[in-house]
Amino acid sequence: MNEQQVEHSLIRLKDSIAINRDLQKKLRTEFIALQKRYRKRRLSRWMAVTAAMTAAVIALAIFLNPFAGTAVVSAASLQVSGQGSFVDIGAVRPLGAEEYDGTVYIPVFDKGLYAYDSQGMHRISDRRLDEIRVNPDGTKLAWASEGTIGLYDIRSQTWTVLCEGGGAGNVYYENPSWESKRKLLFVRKEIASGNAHGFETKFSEIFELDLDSGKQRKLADGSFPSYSKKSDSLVYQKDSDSGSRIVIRPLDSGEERILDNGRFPSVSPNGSYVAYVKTDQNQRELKPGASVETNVDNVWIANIDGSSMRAVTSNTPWVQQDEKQWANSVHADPNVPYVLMESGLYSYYNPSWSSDSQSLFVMKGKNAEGSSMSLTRIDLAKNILPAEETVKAFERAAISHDDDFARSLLNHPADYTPNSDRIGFRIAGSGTVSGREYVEAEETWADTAGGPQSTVTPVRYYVDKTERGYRIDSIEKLNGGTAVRQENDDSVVLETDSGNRVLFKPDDIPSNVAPAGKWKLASLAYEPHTNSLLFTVQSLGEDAGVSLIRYDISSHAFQLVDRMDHAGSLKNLVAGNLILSSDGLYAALELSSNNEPPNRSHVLVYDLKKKSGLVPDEQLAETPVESTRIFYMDGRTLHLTMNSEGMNMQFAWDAADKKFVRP
Amino acid sequence: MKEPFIDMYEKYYDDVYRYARWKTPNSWDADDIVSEVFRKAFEHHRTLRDQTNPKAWLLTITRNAVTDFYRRKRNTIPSDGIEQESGDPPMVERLIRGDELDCLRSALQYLPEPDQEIVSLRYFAEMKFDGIGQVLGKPGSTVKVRTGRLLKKLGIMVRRCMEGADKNE
Repeated sequence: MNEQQVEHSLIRLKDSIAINRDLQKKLRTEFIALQKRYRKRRLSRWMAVTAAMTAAVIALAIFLNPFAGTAVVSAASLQVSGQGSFVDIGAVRPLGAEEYDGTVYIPVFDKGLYAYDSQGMHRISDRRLDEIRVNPDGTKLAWASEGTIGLYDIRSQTWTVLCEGGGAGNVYYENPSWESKRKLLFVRKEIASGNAHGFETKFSEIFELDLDSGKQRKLADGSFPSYSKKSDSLVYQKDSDSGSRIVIRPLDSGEERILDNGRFPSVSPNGSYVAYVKTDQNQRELKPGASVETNVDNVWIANIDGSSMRAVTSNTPWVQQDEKQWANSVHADPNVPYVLMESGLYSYYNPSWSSDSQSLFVMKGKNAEGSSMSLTRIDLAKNILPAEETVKAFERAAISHDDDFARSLLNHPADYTPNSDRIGFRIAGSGTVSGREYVEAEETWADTAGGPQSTVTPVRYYVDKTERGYRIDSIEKLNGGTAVRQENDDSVVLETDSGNRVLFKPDDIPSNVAPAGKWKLASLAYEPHTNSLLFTVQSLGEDAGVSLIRYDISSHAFQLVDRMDHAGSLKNLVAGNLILSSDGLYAALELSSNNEPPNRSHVLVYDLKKKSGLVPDEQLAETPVESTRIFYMDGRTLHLTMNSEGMNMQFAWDAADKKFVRP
Repeated sequence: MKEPFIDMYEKYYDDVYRYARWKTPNSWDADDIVSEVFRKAFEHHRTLRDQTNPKAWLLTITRNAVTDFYRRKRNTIPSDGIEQESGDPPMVERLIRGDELDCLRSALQYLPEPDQEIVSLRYFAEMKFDGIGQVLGKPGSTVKVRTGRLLKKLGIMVRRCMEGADKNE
């Protein structure tokens, strides 16, 4: 390869780097506004520029960084800018997770320690751990397992035991966390048999361990210690007969103060906030002698000085039966009151902060029989989301079945109906009508009940600006939707507001476009902006292949895009669902192979311009992927679900950059 | 005469972004760095001398921002590398086999850090040799000669990588 060819390839590589145009526009708008502001000032030229630049730097810094600014943002004014569950670990004990610099460390009950990052989800160790905490520079994990605590060095992959407990003894070491790079906090507990049955905790003490000298000193009575460098304080959980409380104690003064009721406190790495789980308990009388008691968990954040706090989740009671019917069915006796207990739809455990203090990770369990524990990320920001971003967040939450977050973005949460068929969306624009602000989206739906079908529906979201950010007030389906489907007689039909019309029948496909031999139409995707249809044709028989064909609805022309007898390492292909990116440049196609077990599925991401495809899960060398399915498409980012070792996880693949990105 | 900030911003945004994106693990980090770079440039634009090369100035700010980014995130500073002339290209087995661009990406990782920097500035930030020289503190002629040598080296590495791929098909 000569130098000219190398240069040519380097230029191609340069062209493959996607540039963020949204950022470009955003910054441009800000700089122009700042420049205009400078010109209008009436102060003396030097004072005006100096003052304006100072204000501009702070304003720009605050605009660009959600947590910048000289003052700590009050917890109550922080916004939840996103929430999503991305790993479903099954119906097991919730153990928590820790994030550092984009890698999420997840201990899974009875399976081992995993790392989730852009390389997939891979097992680091078979060791059964109960807890982990990553140290401030991301090089070590403090761990607890069956009453013993120790350290794991991530780089050298070595394990060290610090304090051994559990087993036949009564002393247990738990809840390790980091005070600094060389000081650890932990809990020493003594368990004894209970008076009637079970076990009770005789004492639970918080210790500090100096890793260099080995010296230990007791700091307090309690559990789940966490340290705030900012206020040089210990934050921990203290239990009593009246419940669990979050307590803060400066290390020098020793005076405790109660922050709030709650459990599992976790201080943010920047030392400014505490995250915890709080259960709101309410009791309502339905009739004399019959009442309902709700105990609903939510995740809360508070400023370390206790000045401000708010819930960052929107859990609601899990209503399993009609309250009035129940009340009527009980023979209430005021001396023997009946109480209907309702928990929340979800329970939360072990919140932890991302290393940049801008997100929370929490274990979320759905309180329905047989449901799973999932790891959820909650993103926080100082500024409210603009209207379009709010609608995008709603779309993502609705598609991902993060229904609590979806409801939290509505003015009328009771009207929300979960729907699993939406597979993509695109923000089409925004505006105002009759004084009401709105955002329009095009939503793509797939119907799996009948034959192949693709529907694109324009929807208008009316939004209100509130203190808590934009909220969706009402949703209106607009005219102009399009559905394309294959009928029972195999004809492909286009359905619009003006009626149905047959686009084509199988025999209409030219012989040089259709594959030889027997075949059937497998899946289709309608592309509104080119008014075309992309569909797959499955060859039947030995060495099955898949043809990707485009039909231009206006010109009635068929074009063979590609004929595939293999995709990556897959051969003998069987086509499944098909979706398109909102710009029509990329397609995602579920594929399986007749050479593999029937439930083994892959996804091919196909560049329609370059006519080349890639199977993302083949990039994850260290993740034993059992199956991959299309979840939904968000712009050019394909969200996939993957099954691996009995866990279901979500990944996001940037079709343009050809790499995994944070979901 | 010094051009207005907005003109400079529009003119060099793509080059700064591509450089930052190539140097960082994901687009969010690249976005943060690019925002920081232009914020600093906006702050200091008034003090820029008329004769200063604005693109070299911007890319210098960007290089420093990338260094700070790694220092903050990992407590390590990306190696500037010791000036050295490498020997033979690495063994082909170490290169990930694949198509031409995959081979090229792999080969770039095996270049010494100073050569990687020249490639990033020349081909991703589209800088001229003199401009690169200003950023790296070297004469433009030295950069030009070095570029010729590393293109030859890359050509050999990519060819071996692709030959290795062909043999295994």
